[in-house]
Amino acid sequence: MRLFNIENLQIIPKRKIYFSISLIFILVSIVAIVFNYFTIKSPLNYGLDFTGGTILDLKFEKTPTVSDARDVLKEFGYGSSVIQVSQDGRLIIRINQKNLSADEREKIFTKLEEKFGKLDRENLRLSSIGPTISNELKRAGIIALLVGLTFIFIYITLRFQFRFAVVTILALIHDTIITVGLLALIRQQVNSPFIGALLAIIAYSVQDSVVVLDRVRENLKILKDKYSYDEIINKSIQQSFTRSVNTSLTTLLAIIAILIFGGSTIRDFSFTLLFGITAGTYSSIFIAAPLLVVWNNLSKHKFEETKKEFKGVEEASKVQVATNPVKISQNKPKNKKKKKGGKR
Amino acid sequence: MKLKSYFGRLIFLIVVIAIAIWAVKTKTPTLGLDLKGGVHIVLECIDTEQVKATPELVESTKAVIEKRVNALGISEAIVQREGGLNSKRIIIDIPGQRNLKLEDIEKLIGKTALLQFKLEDGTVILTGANLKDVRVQLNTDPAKKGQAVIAFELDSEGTQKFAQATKENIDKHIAIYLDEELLMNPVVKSEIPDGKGVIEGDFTIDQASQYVALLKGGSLPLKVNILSSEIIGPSLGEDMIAMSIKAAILAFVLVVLYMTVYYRLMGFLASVALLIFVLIDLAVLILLNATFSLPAIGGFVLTLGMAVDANVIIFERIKEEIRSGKTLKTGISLGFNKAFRTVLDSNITTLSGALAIIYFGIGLIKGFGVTLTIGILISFFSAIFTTRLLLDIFSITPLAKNGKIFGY
Repeated sequence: MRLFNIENLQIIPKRKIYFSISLIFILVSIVAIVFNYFTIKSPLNYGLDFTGGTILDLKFEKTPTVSDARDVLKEFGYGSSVIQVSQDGRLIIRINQKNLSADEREKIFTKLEEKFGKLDRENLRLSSIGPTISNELKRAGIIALLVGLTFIFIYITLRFQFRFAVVTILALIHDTIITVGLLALIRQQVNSPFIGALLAIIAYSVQDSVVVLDRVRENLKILKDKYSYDEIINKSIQQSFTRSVNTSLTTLLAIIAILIFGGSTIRDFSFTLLFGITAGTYSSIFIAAPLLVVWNNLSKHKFEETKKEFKGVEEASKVQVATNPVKISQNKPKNKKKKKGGKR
Repeated sequence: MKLKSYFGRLIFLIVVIAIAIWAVKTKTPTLGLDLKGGVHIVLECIDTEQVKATPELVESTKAVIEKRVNALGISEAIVQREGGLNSKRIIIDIPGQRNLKLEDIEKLIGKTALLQFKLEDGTVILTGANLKDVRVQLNTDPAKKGQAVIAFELDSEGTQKFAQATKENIDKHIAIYLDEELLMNPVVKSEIPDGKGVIEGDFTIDQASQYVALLKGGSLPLKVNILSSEIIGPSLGEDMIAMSIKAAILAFVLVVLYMTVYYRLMGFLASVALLIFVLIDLAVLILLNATFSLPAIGGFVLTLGMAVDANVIIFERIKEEIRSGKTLKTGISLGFNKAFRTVLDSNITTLSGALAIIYFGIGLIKGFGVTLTIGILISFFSAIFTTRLLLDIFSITPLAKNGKIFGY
């Protein structure tokens, strides 16, 4: 089954188009974040986990109305709380920054019960988070992101090349900015699972990039004398394209399953993943590998000059490739030792 | 040759599957608070002017809370200190119980008053931690017969301090404060060397009992602050479990459908490998006592999608090899060897992200990191062992002669 002919896929020659697409997304993301900063005083619509506060998720005999509920909360000085009535008739109240005491809560419940009938106590959810914890969450999230990125960077540098590590991290930053930006744009509420989602996206995206880059590494060895750097990269993308798309699709299918059945908490989480994994797939194909070409072009002058000096040697080896390719692969000293060791 | 050479691996796989089925069937998974309902409270002991929250005092605060929770008859409750030795946090987890009023638990822990005995100049001589026993007694003094008094007994450290304090402060007041509020202000009549004293006052028995309850209940050695609390009704969790199971099944079906349509028979083999993966993954999670919470299940479902990745990489390689003219058997072997390094590298990098989640993740995200990590490890095993075995066995069946099964 083939949707289109992959051999015609010309990603490297058209890389400027793909870079532009990403740039537009990144710009929109930054604008959204900055805009939020000025309008709602924070880059993202932080949920309870990050702001601290109390959430009451209650079920009464009668379905409450938002305005009636607000009247009750006004009496307690929480008139500006976020109040919603869910589809199944639950009353959801979010009080920011304030950690309600048990007594205070009970008083509010009693008042609400006067209006909407008995509160179903087996079927409620309350959570309150103080500012200490929410600040810690933010800090731990940032540390986790940085440590994760550093580890990935070191591993790729050791196993591949420095420049592979740089383009992978750039692709990851690309994915993170776009995911955060889209969430900022639609003002999706973010809670602590958001950090988990971001890390999962990074983990996923790096996996995607590594598969493409692994192919590049292999092809650089095998095809070095037959094709230009650009062509090798393009070929590598072609070869891993089907895999990238298939894996992303199966993963997205799983995420869609969570979106359909997952319940509200986990739905926000899978929503973030949906964005991020799409961006991650895009970046590994259209950004990470093409960036290698950009890097190579920037350092090309030096590279070309050295190449000229050794032109005689290069020519000689080309002949050899044609006659006896097995031999050449054996006496090529350029291969790094690490690669040999890691291969088998 | 042929099938015989795969016997060893096949038997190993069957044993693993059998253990996995046994584990899934007999062991009960640990459910997170969000799935079974319950109470989760994080407290922090705070330094006051008089008492510093030393590790020892935090420990005894924990013990007092534990005692109180146990007094409610909740056998499954867990009271523990968070993190390292110097942590001032105490975590209380009480799984959802229908016969228990949630407010009672909260009140019990919420009323974490700080009890202090102070001299007139304000120095604290004792805290609730030193109080061994408090009870109501009837006055033995014949002049005040029948009047209620509060008898208390101190621990050895308290006895010593109290002995000295009473010696130096005869005819002065030693005030008892609860949460910085004056509870009682008795006058010292004589030195109390043995740590056993009585507080006299014009109490009725009822009043005295109330004071005793406060002294007992309020005998937390440190002042604590509720940092976060979460209460989830037990029946709410059940809906979540039902939804999670539905999500997992739907994810599985969608992935299997896609793989089978795209890779035909090979996709079907991958689906079989995926089924085995799910079984082993679940078993390992249960055996390791991982907590199943909503994000954890999210991580599990996510690995369902990612677990086929190694299969896809391997299949694509095999297809390439066969396209370039290799036989099926060499194709499988070559494709596999070439794909192996890619699979290894991609798994290790993914793993580093997942480990960062576990190491720095707080609370619920941790569960997500754990399921993701275990999922990645098992999927690696699944790819290099199960899929390989299935492919090898498949390659000696007559089906393998049909080139179309590779889906191109």
